Amino acid sequence: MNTERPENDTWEREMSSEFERRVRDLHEAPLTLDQIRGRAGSIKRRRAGMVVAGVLATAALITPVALIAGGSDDSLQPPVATHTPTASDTANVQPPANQGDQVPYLSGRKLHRADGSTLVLPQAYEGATDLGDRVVAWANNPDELNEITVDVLYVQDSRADFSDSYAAALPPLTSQGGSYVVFVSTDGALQTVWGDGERVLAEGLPRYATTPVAAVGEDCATECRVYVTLEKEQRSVAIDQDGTQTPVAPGKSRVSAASANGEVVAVIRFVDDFTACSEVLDTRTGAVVVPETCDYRFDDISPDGEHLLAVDPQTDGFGPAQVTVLDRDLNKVATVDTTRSQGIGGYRFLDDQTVVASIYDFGSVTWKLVTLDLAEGGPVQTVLGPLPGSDLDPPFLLAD
Amino acid sequence: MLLNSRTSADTGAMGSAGRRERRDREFTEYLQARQPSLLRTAYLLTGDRNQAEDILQSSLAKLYLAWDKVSDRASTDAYVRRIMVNENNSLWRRAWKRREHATEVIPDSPHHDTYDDGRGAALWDVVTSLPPKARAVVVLRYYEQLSEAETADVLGISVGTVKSQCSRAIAALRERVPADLHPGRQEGDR
Repeated sequence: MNTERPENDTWEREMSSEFERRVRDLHEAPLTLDQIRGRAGSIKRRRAGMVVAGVLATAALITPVALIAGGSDDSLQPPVATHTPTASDTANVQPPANQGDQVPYLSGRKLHRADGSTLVLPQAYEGATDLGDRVVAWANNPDELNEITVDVLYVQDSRADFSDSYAAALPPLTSQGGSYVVFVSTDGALQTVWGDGERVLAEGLPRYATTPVAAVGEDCATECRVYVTLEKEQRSVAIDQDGTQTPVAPGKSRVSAASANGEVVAVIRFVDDFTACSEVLDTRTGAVVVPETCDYRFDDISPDGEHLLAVDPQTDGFGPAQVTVLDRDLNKVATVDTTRSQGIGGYRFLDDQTVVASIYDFGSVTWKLVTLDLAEGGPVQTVLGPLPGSDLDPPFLLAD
Repeated sequence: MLLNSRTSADTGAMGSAGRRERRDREFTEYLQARQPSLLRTAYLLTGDRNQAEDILQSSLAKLYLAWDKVSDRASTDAYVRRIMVNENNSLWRRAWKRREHATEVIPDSPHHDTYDDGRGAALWDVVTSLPPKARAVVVLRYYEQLSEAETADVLGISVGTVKSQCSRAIAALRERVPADLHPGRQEGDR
């Protein structure tokens, strides 16, 4: 085994023998399929919380519908994200120069903004939304397992410092236009925060069973609309800035996305525990804009409402292997594809013509961020990475 | 492209249930066949039975989630080994985990020879003191009997690193195992 020193061969044989001795009485198979599936479910929820901070509506959809329908307590828990610093793998990794511009992302305490500048945050966060003069950032509360801390930070030059802090049940959702965030506080209030103001739109909501899924409007000072899904009832309602609540679609369904002006929304209808079909509705008339299909699940709508980001409705496991951009006639416009060893973590429209996605490679244990430009026919371009980081410990997180 | 929703839904439901059934069946077969062996490797990586089960459960859960992506069933073990090593490295990094286990029990050993001249225990002490990545290298090389190239592939490191880690591990054994317990020393030499 070793040709350099004969003595080494002896030590190698000793190690082999000792290892054999140590484990030769271990013949057990202590784990059952149910136990493994249970752990898999918890990993999946953690991944959803970790990776898709920018597309929480999507993450919520990835949570098995059956769990919600079955009333499992797990379904009511927020995604538990444990961002473990991994100094050797990630902290010292710097993105290559001139990459990552225009795609906001978090890397440790740094928020890389869409304009290419960098903000230093007071601590590492799991997600952040850049509101211009303020940044709303969130992290898991290490002292309360089911609690998210939402910090509102004031931007001063290249730094952002604490202003206000909220305790939330789930991470905040960013509005389609990126101008405000919304979240459900631990006391059941539907809280919105924008560049220079805040407003509670509703109170007394079931805190772990109400999921904001889409938000439209500039801010909630004058006009906004937040779509939330009431998980136990499996239906979505629209809540306006004055607190008015309006049902969105009949039956068991949920809104998954909305155009920036709120004129169209994607709705997913649950056929049974394993099947979901999608359609797009005109919110003013209730008319069907894109007829229902069970071939795709619509996870996002471009801000102008002209394109859909769709995945296989049976997607399971780490994440979809492919994300498809469709037009309103369900023609394929472009795709973000992966190899067998890869999975797509997060994905969303960056603007009318650009899709951004994070891709994890199980083989090389790396992450990369890609964009897809619809105007140029959809070539996928890597804008960041690949950077080392495990599936639960990505070197960067998509921000808004 | 647009299918009748009813037909599509029915087909989708059957397809999903069928796919999950197949996955569970295949996975259960794999579990029954390979779990004891994987547990042994996990034990050698961690040196602790509880931690071994913990990383094995996490690793198998990740395998379960990625089952449809693991196209080459022959390489499944290598895939799980890689996850176990990563899990163990992560576990090691988490101070709270270390504390949790440090106060739990005295490190256990599934097997003790009735006759042990002490060399095995001394060698094991050195191995358990190696950093997790170095330990993974020696476990894969000298227990799993993987080649240097295979070990490098599983760990995502170079063959040169595998070689140097093995050399360092052996140097540590030579240095830290008491001289009278070195291989080749006769009882009368002590």
